Amino acid sequence: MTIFAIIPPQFEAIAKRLQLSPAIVSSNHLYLSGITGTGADGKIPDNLDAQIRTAFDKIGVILAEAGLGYQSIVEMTTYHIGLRDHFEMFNAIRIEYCSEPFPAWTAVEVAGLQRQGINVEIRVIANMDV
Amino acid sequence: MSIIAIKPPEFRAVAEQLKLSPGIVSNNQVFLSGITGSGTDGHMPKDPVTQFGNAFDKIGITLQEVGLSFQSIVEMTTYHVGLKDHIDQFNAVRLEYCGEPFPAWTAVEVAGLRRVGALVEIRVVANIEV
Repeated sequence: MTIFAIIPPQFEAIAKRLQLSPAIVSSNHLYLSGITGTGADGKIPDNLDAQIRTAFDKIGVILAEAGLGYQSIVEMTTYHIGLRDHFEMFNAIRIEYCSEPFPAWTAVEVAGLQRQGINVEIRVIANMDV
Repeated sequence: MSIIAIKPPEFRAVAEQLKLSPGIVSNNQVFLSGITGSGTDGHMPKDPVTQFGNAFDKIGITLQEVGLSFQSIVEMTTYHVGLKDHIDQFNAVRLEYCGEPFPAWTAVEVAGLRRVGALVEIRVVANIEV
């Protein structure tokens, strides 16, 4: 089988409710669903720094479920509300998680995300062999 | 090593500053960071067609660094400010660069791009074996 879903225990409920895979292995790449900074309790952290870190932490949980780490990330697309206001902050946090060789990255400002108060959603592709 | 960063000399400074890879080879796929139509001197032209040409030229530089050309592109996502106004101009430029088999393509209007004055940012996925 060349595709299979990655569903960490922490994401089982939401994966079931929304009927999506938090991530899916397709050949030698792992494709993640868009990840926001909503906490495990369903609450959006009060400050943006915590929201961004929560998003990266959740990406880490999904990668770990597939036996990968942040160094496996090859591409990120990030969707922002307030990109120009928080770009430097976002990038500083991103660099804490990512390392050489840094992923390819596209960041865009969007008209909206699924929940009020969410400022960023992150789409990730990782390499299964790294 | 199954992932390798692509850093053409022209983009090394910005890649180093932002901590991203202009492109990354991941197994047989190549993922490029989002490219806008600023000139290699950093100037953002006002003329849409000049911007679009610059963007494709810069994509070509990154592809060329690993011996690829525009025919290696398998997928493009293009993020636009003013899509309905410039789609015909954009597509005409795209067709000057891309040929059969044409890449899969998704174009969307965004609420903004980070770079002031940018009308488009282009995300590219290419196949290393073509």
